[in-house]
Amino acid sequence: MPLSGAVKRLRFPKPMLMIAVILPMVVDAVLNDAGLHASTTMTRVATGLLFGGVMPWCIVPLLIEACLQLIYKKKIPSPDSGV
Amino acid sequence: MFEKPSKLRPAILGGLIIGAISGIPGLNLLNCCCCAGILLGGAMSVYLYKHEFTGEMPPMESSDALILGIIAGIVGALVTTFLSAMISLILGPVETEMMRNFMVKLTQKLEDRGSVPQGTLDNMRDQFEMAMKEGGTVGGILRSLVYALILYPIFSMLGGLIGYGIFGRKKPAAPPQPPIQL
Repeated sequence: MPLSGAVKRLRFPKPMLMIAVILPMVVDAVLNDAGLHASTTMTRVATGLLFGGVMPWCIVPLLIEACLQLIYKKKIPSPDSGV
Repeated sequence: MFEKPSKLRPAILGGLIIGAISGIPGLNLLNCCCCAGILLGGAMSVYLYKHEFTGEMPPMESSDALILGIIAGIVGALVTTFLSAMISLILGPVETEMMRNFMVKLTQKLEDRGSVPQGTLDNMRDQFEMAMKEGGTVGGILRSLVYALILYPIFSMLGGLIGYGIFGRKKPAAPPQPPIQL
């Protein structure tokens, strides 16, 4: 889970993964607002679950790293750049 | 060693983006989708900051994105409140009328379905009318500024971190190869 495990073992997300989980939700909302596609409860739940299920894994490591940098005023080494 | 570029300019630009999206009636509906306008402003400030770096400067860190997002959120909250107040003053209650139309349709739909008791619907209408009346006063504007100053920096900070994850991170450089001994 994003909030468990050792802080030293931070794993950072790939940019493409972040874009891939944001995009379906944005497309669903924009097409619905533009009147090109009727967004249903199922599409909203599916795209929202994808975004909400993956995003904490992407944001929490970055947030922990940023807070550690601010607290200790030094560069926290990045162990890797992939999830 | 070169210093990092100033955060002020990209943060203010990000705040202006947040202010424009959240303050203009109609465009602010974008914020109905997980505060997307505010997240976008935070991410844009990181994107703009990233472009100010040169090769000699130390790399951008996630703490820079965090601070940028918070500053952009504070600027965005101030700009949004100012812009909303100005628009209400100049154009009249455009936003209020939009919200009223939306609320009438929503309560009508809920009434037709019969899923919400009539007393609750009346209560909703009363609360909405009271909020709309208070919104135009100085007290209402100050209250919305306080809420914005709490909420916008949080969402903008998240936007900044998402922006850092997308634009800012560099893969760690490979360690230099030792010279081959022959």
